[in-house]
Amino acid sequence: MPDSLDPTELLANAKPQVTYEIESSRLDEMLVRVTSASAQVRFPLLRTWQMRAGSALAASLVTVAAVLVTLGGGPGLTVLTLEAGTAVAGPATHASSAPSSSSFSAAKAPVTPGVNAGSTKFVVGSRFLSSAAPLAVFRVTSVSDPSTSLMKIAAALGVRHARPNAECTYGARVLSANAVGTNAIVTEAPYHADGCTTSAGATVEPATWTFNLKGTACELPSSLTGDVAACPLGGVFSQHQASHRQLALWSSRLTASLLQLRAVPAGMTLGMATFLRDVNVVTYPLVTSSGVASNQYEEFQFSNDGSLVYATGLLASTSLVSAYPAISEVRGVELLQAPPSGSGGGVNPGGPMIPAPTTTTVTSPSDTTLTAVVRLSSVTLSYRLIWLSDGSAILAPQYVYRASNGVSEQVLALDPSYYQVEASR
Amino acid sequence: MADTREDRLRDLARQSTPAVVRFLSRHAYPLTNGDVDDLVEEVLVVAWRRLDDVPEGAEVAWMIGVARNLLNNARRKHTRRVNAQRKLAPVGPGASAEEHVIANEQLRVALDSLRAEDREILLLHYWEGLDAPALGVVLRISPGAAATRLSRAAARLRGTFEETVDSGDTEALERTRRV
Repeated sequence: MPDSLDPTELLANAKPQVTYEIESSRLDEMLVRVTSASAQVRFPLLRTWQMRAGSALAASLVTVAAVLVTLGGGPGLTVLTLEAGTAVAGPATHASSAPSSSSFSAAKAPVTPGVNAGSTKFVVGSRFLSSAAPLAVFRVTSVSDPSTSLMKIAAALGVRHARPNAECTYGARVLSANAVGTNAIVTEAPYHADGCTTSAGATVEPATWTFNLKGTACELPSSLTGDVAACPLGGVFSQHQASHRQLALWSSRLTASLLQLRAVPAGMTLGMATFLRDVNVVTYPLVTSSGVASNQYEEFQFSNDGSLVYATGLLASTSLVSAYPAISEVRGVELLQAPPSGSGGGVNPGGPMIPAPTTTTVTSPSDTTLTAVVRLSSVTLSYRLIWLSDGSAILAPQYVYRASNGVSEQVLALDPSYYQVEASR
Repeated sequence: MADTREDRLRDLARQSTPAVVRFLSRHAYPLTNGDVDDLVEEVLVVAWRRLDDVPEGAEVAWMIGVARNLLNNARRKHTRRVNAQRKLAPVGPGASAEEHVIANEQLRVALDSLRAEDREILLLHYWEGLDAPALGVVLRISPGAAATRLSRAAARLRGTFEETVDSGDTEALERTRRV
C-alpha cells in the first residue's frame, strides 16, 4: 500500500482543528460553582427493586410479576444500573452489513448525523414479533485463578514449557498474570490493582487473554514504543494468503483443544467462524448457554504455513443472573424511536464517524424539518457485554435491526423497567 | 504542590481543561460551545467528587476518560432538545468532525466497518494524541493492553481500507462486521 494511502495517516490528518477555548475567568466561575456545591452522593450501584403489593409501582408491574411467577423467578429481581454512557438504543456499532456506496451518497443528505429520534422515523418490518418471552441475563466474572486458566490456554495453543508468572508494574498499580513459554507467551490483560493485590481497588471486570509469539516485531506508532506488549499484527497483511478453508482447519484444532481443556469461558461455546480476508484471521463468536451469539469472541491469526502468530479471547466465566422480562421486536422499534427516559438511548458511540442512516427524506411544509424514513427489514437477537456502574459486567440481550440499505440499529431487549443508566461516572 | 482540595482541583482544571475541550469539541458533534462548557463543568464536578482517585501523572487522560463517559448523556439531552424544537441542528462547513473525515470516503467506510472499541481507540490516539499509558487510563485497561488494542485496531483499519481501495467491494467489509 503506498504511504500516501495509509489510513492512519489520513485519519491523523483529518483531525479537526479546535479553536474554542474556555476563558480563564469562565473557568474560575465553574470552579467556584463546583467547589461550593454540596458533596454529591453517587448513584446507587445496583439496587434491588422489591415488588411489593401496595406500592406505587405495583399496579404497573402486575403483568411483569405474573411473568416472573411463570418463570419461577422471585421478587428479588434486580434493576440493572448500567455504566454511564451505555447506549441502550441507537446505531449498531457492530453492524453485520456495510452501507453500500449508494447509501453513503444518501448519507450526505442534510440530516443530522448520529441523531435518530426525531429526525429519523423507523418503520417496523412486517415479520417483526409483537410479543416476547423473558430473556436471560448473564453475569460475566473474572476467573478465580487466572494463572491456571492461562496455563490451560497456553497448553491448548502449543506454548512450550510454559510456566506461570505474575507481574506487578506501573508503581504497583497494575497486576497481570502470564504463562511464559519458550516460544510464546499468553498474557492476561493487566488490570488496576492498588498495591498489586486483587482485593484493594481492583476493578471487577472480565479480562482478556492474548497469545503472542516471542521475538516478533510489533508495528506500533512511534509514540507507543517501549515497555508495551508485543503484537505481531501489522505490516504483514499483503503477505497473508491463506484460504478460509485453511484457516478453518488450522483454527479448529486449537478450538478443539481449548474446549477440551475447558479454556473457553465457562457457560459459553464457540459459534460459527468468520474470516478477515487477507490477514489470516479467523474469529469465533462466544455463544451463551441460551444459544445466542454474543459480541465476545476468540480470535486467531496465522502465518501462511499455519503457525499461530496471535490469538486473543475472553478470560472469564458466565453464569445466569436471571430471566428478565423482555420487550418485543415491535416494541424495540418504538424504543429506538423514543429511547426510554433516563437511559442511554439514541447515542451513537462512534459519534461523528457514523454516516447518517437515511433512506428517504421527507420535507415538512415549513421546509425546516427533515425526517429520514428508515425501513427496518430484519431483526436479530444477540448478546452484548455491558458494564454495570459497580464495575461488574453482564451479557445483556439486544435486538439488532437491519435496514435494507445496510444501516443497523440496536436496542436492549430488556424491559426498560429493569434497567437504568448511571447519571455520571 | 497544591495545599487544599480546592487548589488541587484548580491545578487539575488548568492543566487538563484545554485537552478536555479539544476532545469534547472533536467528539461531541453536534453539541454547541455552550454544551461543551456544560460538559466541562460536569467533568469538574466528577473530578471534585473523586479527586483522590485521580492518578498522579495521568491527570489529563483521567479527565478525558470522565468526559468520554459524560459525552453520551449530553448527546441524549441534545436529541431531546432537537425533538422539542422540531428543528435540525445547523450543519455548517467545518462544523463537525465528520465533515473533515468524510473527505475520504474509503477511510470513512473502513472506519465504519470497525468495531466501536477499535474506532474509539484510533481516534483517541490519532486525534487526541494519547499514548499507551494514557489510553490505558481512559479505557481503564493496562498500557500494554492499550498498545495491543491500538495496534490491532490500526491493523484492522489498514486491512479494510486496503480492501475498499483495491476493489471497492463492500463484501469484504461485511465479513469484518459482527453484531
